[in-house]
Amino acid sequence: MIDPFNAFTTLLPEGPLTNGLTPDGPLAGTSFAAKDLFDVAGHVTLAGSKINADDGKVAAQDATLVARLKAAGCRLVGMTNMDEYAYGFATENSHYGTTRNPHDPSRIAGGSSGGSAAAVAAGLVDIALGSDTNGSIRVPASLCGVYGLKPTFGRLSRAGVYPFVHSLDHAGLFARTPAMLAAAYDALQGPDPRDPAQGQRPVEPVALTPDMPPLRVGVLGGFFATGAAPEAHTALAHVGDGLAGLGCSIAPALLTGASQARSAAFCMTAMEGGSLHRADLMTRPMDFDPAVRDRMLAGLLMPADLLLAARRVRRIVADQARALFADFDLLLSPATPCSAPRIGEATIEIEGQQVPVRANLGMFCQPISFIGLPAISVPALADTPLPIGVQMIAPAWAEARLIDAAHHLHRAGITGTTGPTP
Amino acid sequence: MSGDIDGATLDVLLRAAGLAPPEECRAGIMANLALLARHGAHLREIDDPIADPAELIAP
Repeated sequence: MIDPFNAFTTLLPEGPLTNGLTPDGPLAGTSFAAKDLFDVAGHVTLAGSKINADDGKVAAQDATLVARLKAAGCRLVGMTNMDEYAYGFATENSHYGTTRNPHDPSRIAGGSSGGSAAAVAAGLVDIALGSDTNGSIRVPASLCGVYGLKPTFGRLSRAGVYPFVHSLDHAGLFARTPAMLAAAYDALQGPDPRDPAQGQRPVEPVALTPDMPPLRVGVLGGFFATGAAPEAHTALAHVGDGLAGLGCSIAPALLTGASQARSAAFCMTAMEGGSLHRADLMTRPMDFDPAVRDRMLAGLLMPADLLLAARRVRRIVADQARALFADFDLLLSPATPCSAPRIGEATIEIEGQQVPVRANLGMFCQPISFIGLPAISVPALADTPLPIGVQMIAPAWAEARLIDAAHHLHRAGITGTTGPTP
Repeated sequence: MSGDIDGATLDVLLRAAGLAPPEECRAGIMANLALLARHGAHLREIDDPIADPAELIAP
């Protein structure tokens, strides 16, 4: 396979490495890629780092989600590029190069699961596994114009997934259609004794409904209505109008603590991420990507009280969201504040101000993953020059509602994946 | 709370944390400390120290 967008860090040959493949499973005939922080037996899990490559620790077994896709008949094609240790929204990796956006190779794919999103967008695979701590599935899904699902915190097993921030890490996936997303998500569900932090939920298969249910949809205002470029507003209005046309009711909604939730996620990420890598930060700091290193070192210097405060804020904002879902079945916001920036662009202009790319591409995703709610980025087929996604958010454990709503939007031509076809 | 600190304060923080990063890391650390301090001050606007952040740990 040719990898024109540097989406992969490793491409696997067909043959022995397909061990575990069930040829007649429900996903037979499909292929997938795994973000290079999922263990693949016999390979070093790079997590986008030079340090892991140098250490050379070979995974003894597949990550649970890799094994489950194989068991469903999906063929593993390779492992995908990412921001170092998943700390970033750009996939401009100083060790393994930049992943290019298949819709415009002069632009980033987003991150940190940028290689996975690009591989799906380019039609190189049907499905890709990713992880999302602060938006690392939803951001690249938005910029690459594919569907990206971040399930409820604790829904999918993280066994064999290289950690970033244990309190916030989610595993999830990308696909070009909601139907494919549903099939793969169903194959990934289910309790896993290897993951002590997983929620003990049974498999809850996605049932795609024949007609769009009349959902009560809230369009998030306040924090979510500021700081976005015109294309993000265009996409949001397009999907909101589309849902209304499908019979949903639309009303404004407010998650009052969203901005503070984002700040809390920001602090928790630097502090927990720094703690995870403390030993290497002390002994070989120059082996890190500089941007990752300096953020983690700063996180190590913050007072413990701040982390406790961030945890309390999580509970407070989660309670606000729970109350909001008494009035709404689904919430909408932009997935990203803009479409894909150019490679190397350090800042983006939003509402007349230059703001840093790496810190702000996930601003609308962070408050949602912080409180563990399931969310999907759907690619709006709106009048925008480049793809951009809209974030749909559901109550905890209601992933099926998200995928079903995405299915109806897709079928109605309101959302969809454009560009190369497999 | 600007969060801006000077080099001497950074030295104290690094020493207390048992860290001694190379000189070229200092500017990046200071910039990120300032950012974290601003976010920290912001999240504290709705913090309630008596709120229970405990999570269920299954036996």
